[in-house]
Amino acid sequence: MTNSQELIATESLSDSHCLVLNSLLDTMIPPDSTLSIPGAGDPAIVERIVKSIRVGALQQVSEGLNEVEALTHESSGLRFVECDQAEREECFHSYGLAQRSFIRTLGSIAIHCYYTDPRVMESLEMEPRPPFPQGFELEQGDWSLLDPVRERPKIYRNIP
Amino acid sequence: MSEDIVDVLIVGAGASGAAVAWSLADTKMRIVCLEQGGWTNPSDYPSTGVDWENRHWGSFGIDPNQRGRETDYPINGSNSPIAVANFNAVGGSTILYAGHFPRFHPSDFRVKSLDGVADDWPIDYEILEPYYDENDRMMGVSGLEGDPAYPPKPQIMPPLPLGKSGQTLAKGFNSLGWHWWPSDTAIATEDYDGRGKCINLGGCYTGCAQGAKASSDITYWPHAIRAGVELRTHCRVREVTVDDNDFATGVTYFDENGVERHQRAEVVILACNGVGTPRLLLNSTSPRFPNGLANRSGLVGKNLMFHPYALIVGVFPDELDGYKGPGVCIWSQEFYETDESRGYLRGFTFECTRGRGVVGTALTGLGYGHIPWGSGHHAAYRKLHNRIAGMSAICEDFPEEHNTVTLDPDLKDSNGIPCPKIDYTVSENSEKMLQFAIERATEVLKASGATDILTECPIAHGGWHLMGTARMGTDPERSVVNEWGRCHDVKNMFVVDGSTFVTSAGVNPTRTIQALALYVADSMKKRLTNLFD
Ligand SMILES: Cc1cc2nc3c(=O)[nH]c(=O)nc-3n(C[C@H](O)[C@H](O)[C@H](O)COP(=O)(O)OP(=O)(O)OC[C@H]3O[C@@H](n4cnc5c(N)ncnc54)[C@H](O)[C@@H]3O)c2cc1C
Repeated sequence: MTNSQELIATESLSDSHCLVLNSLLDTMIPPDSTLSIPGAGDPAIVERIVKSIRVGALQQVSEGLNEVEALTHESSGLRFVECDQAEREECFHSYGLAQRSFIRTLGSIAIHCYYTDPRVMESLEMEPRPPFPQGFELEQGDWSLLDPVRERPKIYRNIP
Repeated sequence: MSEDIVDVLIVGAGASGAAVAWSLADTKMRIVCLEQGGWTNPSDYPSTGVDWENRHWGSFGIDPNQRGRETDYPINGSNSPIAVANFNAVGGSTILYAGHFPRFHPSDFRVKSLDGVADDWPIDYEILEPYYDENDRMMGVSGLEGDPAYPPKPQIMPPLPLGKSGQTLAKGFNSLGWHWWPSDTAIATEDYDGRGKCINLGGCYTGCAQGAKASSDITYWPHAIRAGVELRTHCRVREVTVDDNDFATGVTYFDENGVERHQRAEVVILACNGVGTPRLLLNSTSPRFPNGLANRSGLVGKNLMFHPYALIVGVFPDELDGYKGPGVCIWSQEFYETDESRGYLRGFTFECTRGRGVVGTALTGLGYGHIPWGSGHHAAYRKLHNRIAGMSAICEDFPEEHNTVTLDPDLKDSNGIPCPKIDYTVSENSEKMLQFAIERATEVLKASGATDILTECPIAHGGWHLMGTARMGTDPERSVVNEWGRCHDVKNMFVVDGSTFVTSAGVNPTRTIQALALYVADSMKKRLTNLFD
């Protein structure tokens, strides 16, 4: 039973962990120049992601990043950050990283931070603003769709 | 330390506590309500931030164990496939509820006579009808007259817009000749009683910053307080105390500073919901009630009903409403009444949902394997963005004594009070009903144009309807409270929350919980001179 308020400070991941984290996040959600969107490894997004990792999950993420480094080195002799996108993706998928619990934790945080980034929201034709106070428009719709239902006799049951 | 005696002491300031407080206020009795939570500030609600979906998983989450506010109590749900969802504050769980607001049907009170299952209620639709009407006015209900699934009921405000999602689903229902109707909602579509009308913020289940959604902190409570009710927040009740004549003498509680106090009262009313009320009763042991207060029937905490939910959504080729507007939209009660050829008894409501936010869409896509990590991510996401809509099936749950709220031997809240443990299994009847509902939902979603269908069954975090754990009845051996909410064993103690439900019906419960609370209050007012006879 964790307390959702517990967050860690940015500096609690080492520099080398941060480098692997950036590459890993860009592997999971890559930048796309045709859509003009950053990847999840974009510095502003990573900063929010790191701030959102709970104390309890920090160790899990750090260990996961070590594992990614070790697996990449074992298979290609390279460091994860030295690989190109295709090689990193190959590593990510071939080792089934998506199923690892640290990726589930990190992935969920990454999604929250990535999809609320103003650049990403704008690319989805959304205004980068909170719902309140402006709200949104919703069309009334065609109420004549109800006509066939109105014609039905009552469908609730009589009580003897 | 003991305080002056009050006439009426209410425990819990949620949907039912607010309604009963307001109704009793016109008696001019001295009424005090103790609530373990505080007031929520609408400017703190998630929809005031871009990251509203994220904050839904934080301090405004629906799971008290994960949310872990000081005002929450943990619940051991390890032996239940469905986790309790609630909120502890002035307004109770209505702070987070979706505001889907159906009434029970006449048949829902007579399931034993009609279908030979469970029990009949000792009251019926006709008795509750005027209280439904009164509650509708107090909460401000939006909806459309003429639904063939219901006896006539008054329209207070027009329904929520159909929007793109509602129209798309409605066409599907029409093509199959199935019933649908705009949902009755506790969401104001016009300015109402000092509250602004709905501006389609979305995320109603994270708190409504606009105040359009009728949470009881902004509907009943301002009226009750103006009428003289005293509401004490951050006061957590540990137990109800009794004398040697089986009368409640008051409650022992921890005040906002953690100081233990005793509040004496002539009458005690419990409104802590279907988990909080049995917890409090089971914690209130004494030589005359060694198994918990008002529990001579042994039924306190038994017959817990949740409404097992199935979620069925489709992916549509065209853009729908997505993150815009209240989740609730239209309902269908085509499969509400019993048809034995389906292989189960009773039925369900389809509560249609408009769509989901960007984060919810991405997490859904990843969870169901529709969005990959890596290069295909963006193209796959865009196929789902604003294109997911569907429904949940709210299945009638039967009262079964093995589904229970008991006290966990180890788990305690921040005041050291023992906490609830849930033991619950989805019945065979429910399993069949859920399966049938998924098949029908798939059919109608495809008829509406959906390509892929995604399901979750039962919704694991969907224990938001808490019913049956202090059931109503005329026989003291088979029920905890009588037909007007008074405990059989303790004649000056009443229960007004969903604990008293005899059966669950196949609809969301809050409109009925509040109508019952008003009915209990009225029954008390009519008997003020001989209330304890
Ligand atoms: C996410 C979500 C969505 C929902 N959607 C819908 C919907 O669309 N339609 C619908 O009809 N219903 C919905 N519900 C259910 C609805 O919120 C409840 O049915 C309703 O609030 C129950 O009212 P109540 O008075 O019984 O309890 P609550 O509203 O839960 O209030 C109980 C109050 O008692 C207080 N309390 C408990 N124990 C103590 C104690 N020992 N001392 C002091 N105070 C105590 C609690 O803090 C709480 O504030 C939803 C619920 C959730 C969580």
